[in-house]
Amino acid sequence: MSGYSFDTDTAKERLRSELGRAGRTLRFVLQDNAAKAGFAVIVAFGFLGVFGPYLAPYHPIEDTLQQGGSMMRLQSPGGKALLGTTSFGKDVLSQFLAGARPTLIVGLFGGVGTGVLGFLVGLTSGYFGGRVDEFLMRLTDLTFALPFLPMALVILSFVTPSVWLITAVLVVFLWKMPARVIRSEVMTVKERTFVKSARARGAGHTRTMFLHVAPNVLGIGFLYTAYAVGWSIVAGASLAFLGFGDPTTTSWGRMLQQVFRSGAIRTAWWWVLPPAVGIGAVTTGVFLVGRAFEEIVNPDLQTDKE
Amino acid sequence: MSLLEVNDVKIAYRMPGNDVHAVNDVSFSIDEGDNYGLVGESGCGKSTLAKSVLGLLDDNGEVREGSIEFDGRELLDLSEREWQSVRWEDIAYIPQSAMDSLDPVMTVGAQIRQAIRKHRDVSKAAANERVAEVFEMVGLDPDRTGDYPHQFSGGMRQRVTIAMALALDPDLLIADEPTTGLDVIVQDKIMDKLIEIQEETGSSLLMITHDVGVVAETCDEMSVLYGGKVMEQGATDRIFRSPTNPYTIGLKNAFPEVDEFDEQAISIPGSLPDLTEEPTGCVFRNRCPFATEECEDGHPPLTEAGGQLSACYHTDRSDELREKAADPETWGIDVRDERDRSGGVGDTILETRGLEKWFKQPQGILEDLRGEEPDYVKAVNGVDLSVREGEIVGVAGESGCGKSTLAEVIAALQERTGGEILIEGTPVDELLGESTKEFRSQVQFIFQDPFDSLNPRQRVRAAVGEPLKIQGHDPETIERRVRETIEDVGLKPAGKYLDQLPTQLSGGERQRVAIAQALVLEPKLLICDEPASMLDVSLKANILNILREKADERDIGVVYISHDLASLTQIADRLAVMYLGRIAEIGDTTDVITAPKHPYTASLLSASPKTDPDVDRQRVLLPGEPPNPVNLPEGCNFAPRCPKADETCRGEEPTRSTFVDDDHEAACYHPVKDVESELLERYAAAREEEVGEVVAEELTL
Repeated sequence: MSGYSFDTDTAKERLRSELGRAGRTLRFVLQDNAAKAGFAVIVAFGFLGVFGPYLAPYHPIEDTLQQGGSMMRLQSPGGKALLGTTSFGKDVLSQFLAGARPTLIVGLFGGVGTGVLGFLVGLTSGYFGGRVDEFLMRLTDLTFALPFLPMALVILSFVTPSVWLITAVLVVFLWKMPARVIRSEVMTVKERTFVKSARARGAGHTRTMFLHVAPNVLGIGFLYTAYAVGWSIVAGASLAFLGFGDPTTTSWGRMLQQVFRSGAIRTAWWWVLPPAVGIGAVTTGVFLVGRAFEEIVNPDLQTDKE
Repeated sequence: MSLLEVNDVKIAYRMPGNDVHAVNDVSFSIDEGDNYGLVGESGCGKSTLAKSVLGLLDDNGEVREGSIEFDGRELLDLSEREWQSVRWEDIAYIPQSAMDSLDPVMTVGAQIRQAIRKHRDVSKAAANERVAEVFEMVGLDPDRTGDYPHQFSGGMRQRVTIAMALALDPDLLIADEPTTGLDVIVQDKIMDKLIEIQEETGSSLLMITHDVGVVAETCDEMSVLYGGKVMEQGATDRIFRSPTNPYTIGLKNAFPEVDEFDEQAISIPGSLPDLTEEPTGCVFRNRCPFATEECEDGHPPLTEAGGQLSACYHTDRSDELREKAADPETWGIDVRDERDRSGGVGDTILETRGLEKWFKQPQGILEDLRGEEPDYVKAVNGVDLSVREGEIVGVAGESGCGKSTLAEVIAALQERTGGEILIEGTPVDELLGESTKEFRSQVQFIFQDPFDSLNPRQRVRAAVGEPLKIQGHDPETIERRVRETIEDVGLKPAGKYLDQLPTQLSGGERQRVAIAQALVLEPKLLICDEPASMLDVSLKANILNILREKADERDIGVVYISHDLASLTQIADRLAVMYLGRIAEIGDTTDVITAPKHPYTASLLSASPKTDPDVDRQRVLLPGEPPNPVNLPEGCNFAPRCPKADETCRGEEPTRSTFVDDDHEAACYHPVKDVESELLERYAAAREEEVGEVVAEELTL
């Protein structure tokens, strides 16, 4: 950034004020009851994602549960397996706990990646306008035109899928959403006097863009990042369900795929419900918090606050 | 019996946390056929009162006490259905922003017809007839009822809203700032029309405005509101001749007259009272220089004082107060030494030669390929302007005359399309060469809208320090200079303001922060685009004083752009008047104001309302509107509207040096000698003729 230098003190000061703002925002968001529930789900999910594999009573893939010398196939909940077993005698609870981690990785990184990429594209496009805008927006239209699942399947059939690769594919297909919204918001902010004023005070383009325009659209950026987390989890699970998940790990989507392939999806409700409820709960949680957050980001309310 | 009687009305808005008591115990009454004025600054409750009379308060607002009687009928008890029959039928409303109040996808005629047919059971044809009738009343061409709002200019749209209000022949017209945002000449024509119509139809008018001059000229009786309370009430003439309330005195003094030179503008220090509780003392006490302990015990009741009612404990000393209030020191303003002013002018800082900014009109690809010359809007068309050290050059003109474009082109916020700009003899291109740093450290800009010109996420410290950071100063220097500059613009102590966010500051404070941002680099040239136009009267003077002071102290050259002639005469050393991208007249402020030579300047000057009720001003009925800037007429731009224009004017464009008297130049072949007889009377006569023709036409039909 032109003429902009960071020293540790200002950096610390800025960080503190940003953290303070984040805290205030969170408190405001949590005034909403639905958001409270959503937030609780997200916290629980985060906890599972980090510690889930250590909590699991058995290894989700290697351990086959035995009873009286024979494999426990499709046992309903009870006994050794609290949530029952799969058709290969694996513990459903352990799979559910271990499966939280890849879901978290896909959701978090896919969401954040989508948010950041979309934000930058939208910011550049909206701020500069003209040819830059034309180019970036036609690119966005192109990604809008490409159907997500077929394209993702084509890509994933050429390479061995891994959690990270899937995350990258998600980002490539999802960034268009925040980009569009951020662009239109930037175009509004750009017309406001203080942006022109910054130019008149001598600020260069980079500085004006990142210090004057960006902070004023950051709220919407966060909102769309939160939504992108939800989309990524759903999209990641869909890919896994279609058999294009990472074959070496257990994820919720993969659990659903396995139960479908085993043909027991109509009978083994204990195998279907945990991953299905997990995915449903987390995405709903994210959207509930996002909805409460939207109240703050909404430009009408924004000016009254602070 | 009075037509409208408002008795002890209290209105509060429910807010999260605290209620806001917007109006407290206000009473007034309007007789049939009377003009009544409600005057006050923003936030005084005047619009809230108007809305309550129409039953259109916002959802969170409610009338807590009192009564509003119209024609003997209590309005507050009406049901929504009953309200609908009262609105427009009995009480009609002329809203503030005509730009927004018309439906853009409906023809204006249809909008008025809709209002008529909602209330009257008449055929479409009969309604159309009435529409044509009211169009004629407000001076619009009845053939244009089929046009859409965007096809009308601002002044004409305001006429449409007036026509709409008149459609059902209401008994009471409420006009909420009907001319705010319009140019003076247009304002004058509209006010003239409004009063004429109102006298014709015999309806009453409730005029709500912050413009003291407009009220002084149009209303018989008035109330001055402040902080939701009536401060003074009575006959307009009396109030303006001898105000007895310190607030009225201050307001009147803060409102400058065009021809009051060198009289230092007086501002009222402090800010509006907090209305989250019902007032316990006089609402004005914290800003009043005459406040005593007595003023703490309850808001003073309205008492008889010299023929009018005034809410002040000190009405017995009003003569003394008036005298003292004329002295700026009473209001805590340092008196400027006017003698310094003339000697302070130094070398030339800014010079523009034939500066041009033409906007290309879009045209089709075919025309492009055929190599056709596109049309241009000549926003700035050959402007020569020079500014010297310590000098304030005012640029006046109506909206659309190119003054703001001129400002932005000089400040390199827009590219110029022709001509030259020299800063201290150096062409701007050289200064802008590698980076804008050099140029920005010399030329700074102050914007019109203080509510939008500061980044809402930036604290004052960061905002004011930013220009220095960009120039690459070290943190200590930045901190020191930020503090100095903030105190310099009157935000003392600096520590109190440094960590504030813009939303925590009042409009006046924000504009000062913006000024500090511009001054912190110690520029040589400051360009101000209407810096005070969005502030209340009492704050305006303050901003003007700061600018004048800085220009004198630091030898800065200032270009001050404004449509407000009164503030220009107070601050500017030289004055340029622009019309359609050209400078029509330029010279010493005193010369231009006292002896305008260009007919346009003369008209503009005469259109400013006067607060002195004894002056009987001839209204300026300048015909027509500025022509379309795309197809400018041959010859003098003003010729089509000018009563003095002849063949020479229409044939060849006069240069600026056509009339020269020392520094005073005007682009006119026939300089004005007597404004009254040469212009105003001819305008009036021309209009009479027009009206006569219409009548004659009707008779022959």
